[in-house]
Amino acid sequence: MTNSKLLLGGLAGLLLLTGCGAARHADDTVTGRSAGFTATGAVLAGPGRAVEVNAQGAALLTTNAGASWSALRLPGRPATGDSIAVAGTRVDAVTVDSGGMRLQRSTDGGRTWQARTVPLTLPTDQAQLAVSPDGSRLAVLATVRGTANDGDTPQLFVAGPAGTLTARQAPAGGSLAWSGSRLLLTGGALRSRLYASPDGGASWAPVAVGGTVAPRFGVDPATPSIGTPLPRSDGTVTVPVLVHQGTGAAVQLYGGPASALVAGRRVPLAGQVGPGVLAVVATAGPDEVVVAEPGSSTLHLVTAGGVRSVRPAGLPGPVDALSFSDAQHGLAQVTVRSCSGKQDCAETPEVLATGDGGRSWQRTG
Amino acid sequence: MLGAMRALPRPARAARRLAAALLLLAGCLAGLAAQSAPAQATPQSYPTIGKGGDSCTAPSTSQMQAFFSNTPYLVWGIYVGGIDRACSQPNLTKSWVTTVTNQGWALLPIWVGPQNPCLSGFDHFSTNTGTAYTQGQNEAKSAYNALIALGMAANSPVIYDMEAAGGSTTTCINATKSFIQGWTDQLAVPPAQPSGVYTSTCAGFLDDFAGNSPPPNFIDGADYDGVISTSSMPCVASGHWTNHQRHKQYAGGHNETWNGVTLNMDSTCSNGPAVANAAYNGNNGCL
Repeated sequence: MTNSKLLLGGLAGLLLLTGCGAARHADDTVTGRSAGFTATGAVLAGPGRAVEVNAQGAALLTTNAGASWSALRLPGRPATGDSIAVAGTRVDAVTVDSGGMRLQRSTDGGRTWQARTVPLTLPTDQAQLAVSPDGSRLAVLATVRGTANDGDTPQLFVAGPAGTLTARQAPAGGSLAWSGSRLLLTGGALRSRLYASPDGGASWAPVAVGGTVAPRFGVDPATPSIGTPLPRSDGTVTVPVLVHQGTGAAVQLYGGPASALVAGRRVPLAGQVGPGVLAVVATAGPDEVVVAEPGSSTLHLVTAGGVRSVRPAGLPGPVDALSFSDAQHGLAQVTVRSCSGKQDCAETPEVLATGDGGRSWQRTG
Repeated sequence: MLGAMRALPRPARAARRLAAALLLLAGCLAGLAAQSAPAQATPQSYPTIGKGGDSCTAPSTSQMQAFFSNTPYLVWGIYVGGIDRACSQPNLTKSWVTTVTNQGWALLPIWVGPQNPCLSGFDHFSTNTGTAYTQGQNEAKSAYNALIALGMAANSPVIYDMEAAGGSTTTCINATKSFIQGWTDQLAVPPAQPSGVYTSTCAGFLDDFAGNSPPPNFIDGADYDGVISTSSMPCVASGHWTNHQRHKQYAGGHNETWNGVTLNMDSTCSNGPAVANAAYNGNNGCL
């Protein structure tokens, strides 16, 4: 599961929508979006951007961290995973249907779409989409269902500035990010490895994080777990790494170009954190990183000046995924879980928004 | 010193099918009897219905307790061995098994030995079907020994983790089926163990194993559709493995927090054999 985006799960009921021409205008604003829309899935689609879908196949988009929502016509069922990216009026999405997997692009906010087939060699409806910050490069990492023991079977496809989708060999299953023109992949057992490719996935080399590269097999439970790198507009990345220290844990942030990551702030965590847990982290503007405590609603606001921990109002539990459009405005997904017996349990995913830098949160729907 | 399993006597196919059926029937009867029985000293095969998960490395006993109390979960997958096992297992001991089964857990032992020759990045079994068959037998013997070392009964079910392979050829598929045949046949040798196989329901050609003779006793199919039901398995015929013979991994790795403990886990729904102190019916939604 990646750090900064939400997984589209439970979308089996999402209906196909005709993509071209018939779409309602994307700026049909539904501020507050409470008019009968019950989200069954959501994906964070960029800083402060999110798409929610309901069981009838309708989708709503926010580009301002939940302040307002607009109808979005998707041309098919989104792949399970971080499968939608929104930047301005451009929307990229990986969709699946009976014909397989497709990479879809709209440059007019979802009114019209152009589709390219993703040439899978094994069937799957699970994929992650990574778009470079300047929008010129794109990669799709399709993962074959059946990944016990972290032995993912990845299928990687990369499109450069020319737009041609090329199959590449991924060194592991996991998650992708761009650092300028360099493609990064975190994967392997306990997400313990970071790989970098300077040539769009044609070749890969492991990157030492904290001075070491984890082994391929027999990975120790105390091995750090590397979260999905967070791209910055200057081509550098922030890499959140969850490290275990005795019975405790911390999030160690690394930053810089992928070829020369430098250790930054370290954020101690309060709860019990098991092996392989990934840090939930987001960049918030140019100077701030927000780290979510895995076992509680506490947020740690990290700046050059230090770390401030806040117990936000309105967050009902630990954050599953987090995204900020600037230092003030952000979105979070929280899954509220409760049980009174093995057969009487409830899990309720909720998307919440903040407009004050994470100190207070309100439900978006 | 652990004893190795006896060599397979190669019974006739019909006899092997009968043995497999009797094995499952015995498990079900034992399970029914156990529902009102006190905890057993040795965890063994019981029919289990309910939700659970697995993690690359076995959590500590306190973490397991946190994920059992007031949670939906009662089944946990453990990677008991094999050359392609990804994580080391410092917690996974006989004492750990005793403790967590006494907590109430049912365990799904998983063996990650050599993989489909068409799967890159792993150790492989042979493309020769005869050799692959023997290798499957040998892995079954090793898995048996591992389970005994962990304090589980000799009738404990065990699952072979066979990851889906991109670009599988007919040669690789045939070798994989033969390997699993060896795995199944060897586990059927008394003291017989229910044999399971895990793979992607579609990409792993899981339903092809129904054509083995006999087929694996049960399956653990991976399909991340979020549908919490073992009856819903794309690419697996509805008439195959119908008698409490299915587990389903319905979601991949994600963080979950229960009782102050956060783990990264896959999600599983069970309607099949597991290693426990008693039979469980923990969630009929998994049927």
